[in-house]
Amino acid sequence: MRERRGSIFRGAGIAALLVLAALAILLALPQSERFRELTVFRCAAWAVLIGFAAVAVQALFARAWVRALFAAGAVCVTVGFGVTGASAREGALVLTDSLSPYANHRLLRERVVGGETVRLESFRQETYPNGMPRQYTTLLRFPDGLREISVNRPYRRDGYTYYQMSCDGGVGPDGYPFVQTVLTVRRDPGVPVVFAGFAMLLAASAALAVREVRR
Amino acid sequence: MTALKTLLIAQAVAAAGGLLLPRRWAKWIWLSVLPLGLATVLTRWAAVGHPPMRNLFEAFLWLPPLTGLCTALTRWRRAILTLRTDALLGLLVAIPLAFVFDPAEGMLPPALQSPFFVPHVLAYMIAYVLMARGCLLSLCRAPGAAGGSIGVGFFFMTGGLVLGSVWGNEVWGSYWQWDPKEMWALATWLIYCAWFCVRGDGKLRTALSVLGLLAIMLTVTWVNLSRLFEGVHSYAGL
Repeated sequence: MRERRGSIFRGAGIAALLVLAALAILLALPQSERFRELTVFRCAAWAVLIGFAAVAVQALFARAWVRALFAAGAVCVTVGFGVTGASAREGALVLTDSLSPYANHRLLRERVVGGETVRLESFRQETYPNGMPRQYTTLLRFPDGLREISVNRPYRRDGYTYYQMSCDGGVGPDGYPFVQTVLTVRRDPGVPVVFAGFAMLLAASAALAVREVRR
Repeated sequence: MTALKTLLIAQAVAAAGGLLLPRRWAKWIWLSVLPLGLATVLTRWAAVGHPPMRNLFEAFLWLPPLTGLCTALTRWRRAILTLRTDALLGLLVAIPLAFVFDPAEGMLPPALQSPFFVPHVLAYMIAYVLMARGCLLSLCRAPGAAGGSIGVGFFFMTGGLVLGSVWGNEVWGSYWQWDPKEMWALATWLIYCAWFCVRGDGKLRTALSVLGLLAIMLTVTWVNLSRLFEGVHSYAGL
């Protein structure tokens, strides 16, 4: 009886994972972002969370540690996604460096982020000999000093993270050249939860690999 | 003919030799893909000035030597010779590398200049080789070797997914972009999760390993090259 119940649960688990895989492929299609706003998507996310939590609890009682770790990792990742969806905040920070004598430079170069004034000191674009961009670097002045931000080297401060995204430039309507640095400022409390889940998934997959190699 | 082209053709010949020649000779000819592949990677690395992983051509350069390494490791660990399956895989990759792909050189855009670049791509390349071997070995009824291959491959696939996510968080400020390639990679990973849920080495495991390989092939080729799936991985084309 227990054997039969186990195989039914196993079959249901396999079916659920394959349905999730099919859903992931559907979400890869163009304009699928609208689907993520639907209530049915949120219900599916809750179903995934409850499903993995049930597997984790059942595996703990059955002393199946690897399965429990794997399911707990999946729960953590799903919860982290939920925290991100509910509480992450993001905004573009576009600062302009202009040579125009008519421009209000303070207005162009300064913004207030999280109660602090952030000022653009300089922006630098490195290029390869063929003109292709190599790196964008922005030097920002915070109340306590200068900080450099470039692509792949974000700056974290008081829960906010500053990312270098791209740049823009050209000649303004007044005929003077200008350059714009485009940064993103983001606050996401879901990140540590998701990364903790990733660590659990990685540890569980290492244990699964060892088990399969020894078999 | 450039040194790279010569090495690529030599690699294809070694793989064909491993597949078609008598076992006694084929073993050594196929294993020559290890030094040949390594030389190919190093030649390309020296030419472009960065680890060759920028596009599909450069990422595929790693596959033949990795497959050869798997042959050697399986021979040492399990005392079985997976010569024909590995040579077939090597040939399937070496022929497009030598005759189809355009080896035009390019520079790394700012987003790819990251410490996560090499481990993320390499983890996926190792995973893909191991999963493909696992599938072929399942079909050849060698469940032990197939399980080991898929088990280790799954670890690398998880590592690749996690490293990509952490990298995305560093470069774009979000650990998940809902990018088509990410979604396909997740779907592939979920199929292999289902593989682990199957008890024993029956037909269902073989079917799932075939489905997983199909998903990998679509992720690597169709999703990368089709205009239908524009996303943050667009630079990973030919």
